[in-house]
Amino acid sequence: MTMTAERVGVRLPRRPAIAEPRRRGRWHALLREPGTALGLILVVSLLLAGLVAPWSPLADPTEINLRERLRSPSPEHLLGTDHMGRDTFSRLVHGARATLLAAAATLVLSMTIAVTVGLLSGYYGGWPDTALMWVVDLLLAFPSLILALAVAGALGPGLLNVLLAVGAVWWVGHARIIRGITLGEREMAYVTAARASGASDRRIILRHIAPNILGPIVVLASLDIGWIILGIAGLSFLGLGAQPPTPEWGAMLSDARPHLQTAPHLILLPGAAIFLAVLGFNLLGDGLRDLLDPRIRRLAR
Amino acid sequence: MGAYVVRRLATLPLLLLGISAVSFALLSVAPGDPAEIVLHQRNPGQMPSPAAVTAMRAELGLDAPLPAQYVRWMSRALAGDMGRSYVTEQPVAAQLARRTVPTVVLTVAALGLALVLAVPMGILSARRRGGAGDAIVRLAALVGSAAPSYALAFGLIILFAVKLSWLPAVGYGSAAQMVLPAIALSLAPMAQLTRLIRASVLDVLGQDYIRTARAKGLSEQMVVMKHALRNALLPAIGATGVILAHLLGGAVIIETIFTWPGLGQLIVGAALTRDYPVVQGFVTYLAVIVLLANLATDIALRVADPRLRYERVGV
Amino acid sequence: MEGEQEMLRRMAITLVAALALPVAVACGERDDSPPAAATPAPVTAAAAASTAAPPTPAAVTTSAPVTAAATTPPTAAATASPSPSPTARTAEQPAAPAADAARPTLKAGVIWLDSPLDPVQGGWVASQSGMSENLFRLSPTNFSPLPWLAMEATDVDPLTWRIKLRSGVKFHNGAVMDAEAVKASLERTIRLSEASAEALGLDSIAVNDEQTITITTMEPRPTLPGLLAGPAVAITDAAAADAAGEGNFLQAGALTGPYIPTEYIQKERLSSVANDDYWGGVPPLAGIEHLAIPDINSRELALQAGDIDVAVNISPEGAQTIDAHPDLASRTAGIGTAAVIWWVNFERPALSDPLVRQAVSLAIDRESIAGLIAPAGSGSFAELLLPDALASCPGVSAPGYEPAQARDLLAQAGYVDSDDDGFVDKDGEPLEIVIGGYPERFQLPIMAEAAQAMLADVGIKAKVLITEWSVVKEPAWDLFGWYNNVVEAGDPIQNIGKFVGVSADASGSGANNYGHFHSAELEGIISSAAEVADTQQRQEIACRALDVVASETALLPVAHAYLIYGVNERVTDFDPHPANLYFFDHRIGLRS
Repeated sequence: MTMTAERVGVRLPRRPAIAEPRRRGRWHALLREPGTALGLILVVSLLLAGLVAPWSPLADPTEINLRERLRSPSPEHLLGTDHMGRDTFSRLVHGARATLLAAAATLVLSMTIAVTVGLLSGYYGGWPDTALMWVVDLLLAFPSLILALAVAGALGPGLLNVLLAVGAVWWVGHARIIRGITLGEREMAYVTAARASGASDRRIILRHIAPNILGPIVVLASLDIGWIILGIAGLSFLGLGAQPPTPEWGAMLSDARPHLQTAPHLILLPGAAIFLAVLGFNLLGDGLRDLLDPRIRRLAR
Repeated sequence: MGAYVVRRLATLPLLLLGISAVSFALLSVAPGDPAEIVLHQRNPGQMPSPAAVTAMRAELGLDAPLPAQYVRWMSRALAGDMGRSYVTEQPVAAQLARRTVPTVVLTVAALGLALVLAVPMGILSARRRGGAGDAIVRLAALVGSAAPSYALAFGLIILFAVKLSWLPAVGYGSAAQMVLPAIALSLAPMAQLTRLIRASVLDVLGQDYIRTARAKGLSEQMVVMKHALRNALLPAIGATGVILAHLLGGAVIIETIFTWPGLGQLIVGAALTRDYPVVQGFVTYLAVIVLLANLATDIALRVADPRLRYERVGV
Repeated sequence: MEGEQEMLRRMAITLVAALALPVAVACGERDDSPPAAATPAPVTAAAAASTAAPPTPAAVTTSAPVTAAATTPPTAAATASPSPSPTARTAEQPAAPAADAARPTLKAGVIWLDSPLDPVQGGWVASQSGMSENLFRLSPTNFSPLPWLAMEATDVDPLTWRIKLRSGVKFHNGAVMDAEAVKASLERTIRLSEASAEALGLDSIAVNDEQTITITTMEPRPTLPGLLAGPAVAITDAAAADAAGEGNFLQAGALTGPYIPTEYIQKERLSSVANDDYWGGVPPLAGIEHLAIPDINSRELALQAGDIDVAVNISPEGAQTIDAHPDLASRTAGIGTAAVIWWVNFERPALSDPLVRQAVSLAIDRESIAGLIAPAGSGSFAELLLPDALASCPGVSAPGYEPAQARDLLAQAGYVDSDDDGFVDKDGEPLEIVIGGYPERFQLPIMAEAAQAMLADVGIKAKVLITEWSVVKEPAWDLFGWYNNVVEAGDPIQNIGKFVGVSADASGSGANNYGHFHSAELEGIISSAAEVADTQQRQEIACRALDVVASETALLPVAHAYLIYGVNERVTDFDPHPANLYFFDHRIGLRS
C-alpha cells in the first residue's frame, strides 16, 4: 500500500522515488492490454466530444424543426432527427457533455465527502469515528438508486437535483475504504516518526497520509463512474433527471419510447452511447486497478 | 454481550428518529401544496376552489406547525399508521406490505438466474484461462455490466412479446410474466458475479493446498469440485448483499417498464406525483429493515465468532 | 481478515433481510388489509331479452319536459343459471356467478386506477369502468345530458326540477333504486363532497312518488341535468355504502352499472363480473379485468403482445403502429374533449402589453404544435377553446402563424434588437418570457419546447419551466401549459367561465383564473347566461364570450386532446365515447 502513490506517479517527499524508466514501463504495460487501450480510446474520445461539442460545427442540439420530424439519416442529418426535428447526432455529442459533467460533478461531490469523512474518521478514531461509521453502515445497505430517487422526488426533477441526490448517497462506500487506508497509514513508522518530531496532525494528514489515498481514489473513481453514468441516465429515463431541452442520453432514450417501433434507432443510439461510455470507463478502471496494488482490489469490492 | 446488545438497541430509535426527521423535513420543504395535489387527483381537469383547499389542509393536518406535524406523524407511525397516500387514499403501510412481495419475488428470481449462470461461467472461464471460452465469458461479462437494463428490456419485449408472442409484455401474477423482467434485471448482477467468481477461482487455484491436492494425484475435476469451489464461492456469496442492493435499485426501472406492481414502481410513481406520505413511509420502512438486519447480523456474528466479542465488528 | 469479516457480515445481512421482509409483510397485512373476500353480491342471470335497448335514448332538451324514448327495462325473465337470490350477501361470500364458459372476460389496460371507487371521492374509475351510473349521461355527439337512470327532467320553474326515474333498476346488492334511494344518494354526495355540493347548489330534495323526485336549487340552475352527469354524482345505495364504512365501498354493492366490482387494488388492477340483473340487458362478457399500465408505451406494447384486448388512451404515434398490425385497430370518437391551452399571465409585465401578447400569439405556430400532440388532421386548432360539438362559432378564429407580423408588433411596442444578440429589448431590458407546464401530461413539455424555439425566431427569449402543476398559482411564469376537460356538464358557458374565473350560472364549480384576466365585457356576457336554459341561446352567448377571449388573447388554446383506444379485432360492439367518462358499457363483447 505504501507503494501506491509512486505507482500512479505522485512524488512523495522523504521517500525515495522508484526509478523513472520503470514507471514508464508500467504505463506502457497498461496500454499494451487491448481492453485497457480500448477503454482509454473510448474515454478520451468521449471527453473530446464533450469538450468540443459547443464549438463544433454541429447543428444546435435544441433547434426544433417540426417539419423535419423523425427523419431518417441523410447527409444533412447524419443520424436523422428526433420527434422534435432536432439533429440526433448533435444531441448525442452534446449528450456526452451533459452526461460527463453530471457524472464528474457527482464524483467530485461524493469524493470530497468521502475523503473528508474517511481521513478524519480514520485518523482521529474515537466516538466521531464510531458515529460516522454507523451512518456509513446504514447508508451502505441502502440501495443508492432508490435513495437518490426519494431525494429527487422531494427536491423535484432536474439534473442538478439528481446529481446532488446521487452524490449525497454515493460517498459512503468510499469513506469506508479511505478510512481503512488511513488507519493503516497512521500506524506506519514514518508517521510515528513525523509525530515524534513534532509535526502537527494537520501536517501529517496533508503531507503524509493524503498522498497515499490518491491512488485508491483514482481507481475507485474510474471503477465507479460507469455506475454513476448508468444511475444518472436511469433517473433521467424515469423522468426525474435532465429536463427538456437538455440533451442527455437517459432522457433521449425516454423521449424515444413512443417511437420504439417506428424509429428504433432513436432508442438504440442513446442506449449504445451509454453502453460505450460505461464500457470505456469500466475497461480503464480495470486496467488502472490491475496496475495498482492488488490490495485495492480487495478493498474496492 | 448483553451490554452490547442493549447499547445497540438504545441507538436504534435514535437513528430511526434521525432518518425520519430528515426525510420529513425534506419533504416538507418540497414544492407544491399537498392539499391541492389531493384535490386535483380526485378531480382531474378541475381546479379546486380555495374553500376546498382550506378544508383539505385541515383534513390533512397541514395547518399545524411543522414540528407538531412531525410529532403527529411519528406517533402514528409507531402505531403502524404511516398515513394515507395522497393519490389512492389507501394506508401507506398496507401498500408497502403489498408491494414488498412482488419485489422480493422479482429480485430473488433475478439473483437466482444470475447465480445459476454466473457460477458455471465463472468456473469455466477460470479453468480455461486464456482460452476461447474465457475470452467469450469475459467479453459477455463486460458487455453485461455496461449495458443499460432499460434498453435491453425494450429489446426483449419487442422480440419475445410483440414479434414472437411467446411471452407477455407486462403484468404480474403468472410465471410467464416473470421471465422477461427477471432476465432484464439479472444481466448486470450476472456479469458482476461472473467476474467475481472467475477471479476468486483463479485465486484459489493458485493456493498451496490446491497444489497439495494435485500433488496427491487427485483429478483436476476433483480438485475443482471438492476444494476450489467451496472456497471460491465464499466471496461471491459474501458479495450477494451488495448485489442485492444493486438489484433493488435496478428493479425500480425494470418494474416501471414491465408494469410490475412492486416497491420500485410504487416509489417511482410516488416520486413523480409527489405522493409524500408514500415516499416518506418507504424511506422509513427501508431504514427499519436495514437497521434491524444490521443489528441482527452483528449480534449473530458475535455469537458465532468469539474473537469478535471484544472488538468492533465490520471494520 | 478484514475482507472476510465483511463478506460474512454481508452474507448475514442478506439472510436477515430476506427473512425480515416477509415478516414485515405479514405484519403489514395483518394490520391493514381490508376484510378479505371481496366477492360481489350474487346476481341472477336474467337471460332476458338480450336485445335490450341501449341505455342512451333521446336527447334532453331543456326548458321542455325531457323524456326518454321509452326504453323498456328488461323485466327479469327466465333465470338461466341457478344462482342464489340477488338479495343480501350471505356470510359465506359465495363465488362469482357460476361462470359460464361461453362468456369471455375482457382485459383492458388503462392509465390510472388511482382514485377510490366511491363516487363521492371523485368517481372517475367507477364511471369509466361501467360500474356506476348517473341520472344523466353526456351525449356522445354534442355532450348534452341524456336520460340514464332518470327517464325525464322537467324544469317546473327556474329553481325547481322534477325528475322521473327509471323503474326496474337495482343496485348490485339487490336493493331497488327508487325515489327514496336517489334522494338519499344525492344527499350523501352533498354531505361528503364539498365540490359537488357547491356545484349543484341544492336547496331540498322531495320524494313525490316511488319514481319521481323534485329538486329545488338555491339559485337558478338551467344546466342541472348536465351537472347531475358528473362522475361524483353517480347514484349509490347510500345506506349500504354508509353501513359498509370507509374503505369498504366495494363490499356494499352500492352501484347500478352493468359490471360489478369484485376486487380493486388501486394502481394495480380492478376486476369485475357482469351484472346479469342489469336493467339494460345481460352483458355478453363474464366480466372485465382492468390493469393499470401507467406508461403509454407499455400499454401499446401490451396490446400488441396480446396481454390486453383494449388499451385505453394511446398516443397518435402508437395508433399508427397499432393500425399496421393485422389483428389490431385504433378507435376514437373523433372529438377532442380536453383542451390543451396556455394561460397568459396578465400580472407580469412581459405580457401585460396587448401588442406583445398578440406578437407572442402570432409567433407560435400552433397548428404545427397541434400536429405533435393530437392526431393528424384533427382540425382541432380551428376550434379554439371548445370542440365544435359543444359550441360551433364560425365567426371566431384564433390568430394564425404570422412571424413577420409578430416582429412588426414587437417593434411597435418598442422592442428592437439594439445589442445585436438576436433577442429584442427595450430600454436595455431584454424581453424574456417563461413558459411553464407540468410533466404528467406529455403534451405540455413538448409544447413548451416547441414554443421556445418559435419565439426565439422572432427575437423573444423564452425559458422552459417544467414543474409541479400548482406553480401555476405563483407569479413565476408568463405562459403556463394546461390540460383541461372542456365538456364538463355538457355546457359551453361553464367551460369558458371556468377559464376566466367567471361562473356560468353561479354554479361554477371550482372556477379559477390563473392568468388573472379581467374583462367587464366578458363577465357581462357570461352572467347574461345565468338563467338562459335554451341550448341554442347558450351556444350563441358562448361564441360572444369566445370572441372576447380571442381578441384579448386572454389565453392561447393549442389543441384538443383526443381519447384514442387500441382495440383487438375480437372485441365487438365497442363504441368509443369521446368523453373521458365512459370506457365500457353493457354491450361490449369479445369473440373467442
